[in-house]
Amino acid sequence: MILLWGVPGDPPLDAVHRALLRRGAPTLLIDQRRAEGTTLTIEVERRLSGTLCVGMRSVPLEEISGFYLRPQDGAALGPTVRGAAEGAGRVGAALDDMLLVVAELTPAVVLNRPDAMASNSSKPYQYSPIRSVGFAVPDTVITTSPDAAREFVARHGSVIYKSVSGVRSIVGELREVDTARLSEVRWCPTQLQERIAGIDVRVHVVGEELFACEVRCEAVDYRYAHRTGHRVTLSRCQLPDDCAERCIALARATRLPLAGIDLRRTEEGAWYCFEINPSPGFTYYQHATGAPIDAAIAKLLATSRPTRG
Amino acid sequence: MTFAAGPGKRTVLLASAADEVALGLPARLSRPDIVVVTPADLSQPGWYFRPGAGGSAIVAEGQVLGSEQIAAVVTRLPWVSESELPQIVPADRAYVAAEMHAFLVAWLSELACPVANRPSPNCLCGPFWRHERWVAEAARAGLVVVRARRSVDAHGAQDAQDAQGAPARLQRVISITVVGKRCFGEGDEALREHALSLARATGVETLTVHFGDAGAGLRFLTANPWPCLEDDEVASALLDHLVAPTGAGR
Repeated sequence: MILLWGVPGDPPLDAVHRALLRRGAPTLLIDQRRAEGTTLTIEVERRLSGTLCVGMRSVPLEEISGFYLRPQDGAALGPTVRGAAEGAGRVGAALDDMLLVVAELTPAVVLNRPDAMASNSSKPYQYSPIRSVGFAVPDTVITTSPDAAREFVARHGSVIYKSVSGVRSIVGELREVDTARLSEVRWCPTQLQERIAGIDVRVHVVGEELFACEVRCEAVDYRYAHRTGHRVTLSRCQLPDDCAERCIALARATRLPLAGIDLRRTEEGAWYCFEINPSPGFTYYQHATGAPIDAAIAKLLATSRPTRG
Repeated sequence: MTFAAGPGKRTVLLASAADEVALGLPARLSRPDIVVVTPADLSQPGWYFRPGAGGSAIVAEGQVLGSEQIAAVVTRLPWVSESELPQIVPADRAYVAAEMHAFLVAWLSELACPVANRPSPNCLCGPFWRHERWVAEAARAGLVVVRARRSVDAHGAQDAQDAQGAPARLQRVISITVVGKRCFGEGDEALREHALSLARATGVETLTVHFGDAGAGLRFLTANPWPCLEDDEVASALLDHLVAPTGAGR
């Protein structure tokens, strides 16, 4: 049995669900908005055991062979989405927490384990494994020192700023007018990075499979290009073998069998890596390029052997 | 790993501004080399970190301290919470707290000096595991455990442990704090060895392990990687484990 957990209507969740049904794989969808119709009992000694009931369907946890997670922030779902009944939000939060335990401890293939996904909450924490597999990382400073920030800008000329955490993660270019605001960095460690010119490449790693997508866009952060009126063009591309090997190695090093890796290729042929996303919204790239990422995820979920237990 | 303190080096104790135990530690132990850093210090100009490039600087007690001047770090702060940041306007507190936490995770992970404990992405003090994960890890490390059991249905959530471990039935609870290879607290040699095994398996410098007895002997209940500084002997042992007095490297 393959579990899917999230909110129906979320494109990646829907796409993986459809791909699993096309394969004829047995699936059980846990709708995060309907916690009241779900019961879960877990027991842990050396191994995880217990029972999950969704509506009229009941599954022993030992029979779970795959688990695809796309949970939304429970607080953001709100009581009206969770259900009108009193206490529904509390039940939903408890169920969310217990499903994370299942995701941590089941020997099934899990895309991805919560403790591995947590690396996304600190971008510079990811730089170490990124470097360890041979990718370049742009020169970076995180500082509360206005003088150090100004010195960094003076050294590199073209600099971008972006959040250190996964919150408000929009990349911006530091413009002349912004330099007057560098004194504000004293209030909070602020991340500045040399701007690397080149072509963006988004790579989705699914087990041992790779799907690379070239992104051509004039905006600093193509994900938000619509806000600045820029056009984005996506096309499938092939990675050089050594770059592809690094992507696979990075997914392994970070224990993320499903990953979205953000690369940039310079004119000189150097490959920079900015981050590795543990819950990639792959459908944006799949729709534009036709890459069968959903089918690859479904295959990984349906055919992998247990990995822990 | 133990470093010699070296002249002028400081031990950084990262803690909440509400952590009286941490704030009072330098005076309690007469250790002027200990400097307490709280989240509010991250709003002082002077912090500097270049990931992967080596070298960083922090601000402690109003002074900039280069990483080469830091002998060790003890982290009593699991995360940066909004309530620690009165200097930030309310609308930005959640964001700034997340940024400071993310910064500290990366900085503590790369520091060359000893750190107790090294952070995980969601906890600055070490692994942030739910109770069930601790039970599973303890069982894998060879400890006899009290089975964890939890359920949720439309009526709500229920925490329960197996009848032998239900808190109301416990006749005795003991705690052993591991510091490096030493153990503090009650417990016979076998329990101490179990506590050490779990600390080794977890990869932490310090860990407090709790055992409970409901009549069938002491079994693992849970564990906590938060450095225990309440007891002077344990606190001193942790500091000595991380930073040997000059010339006393082990």
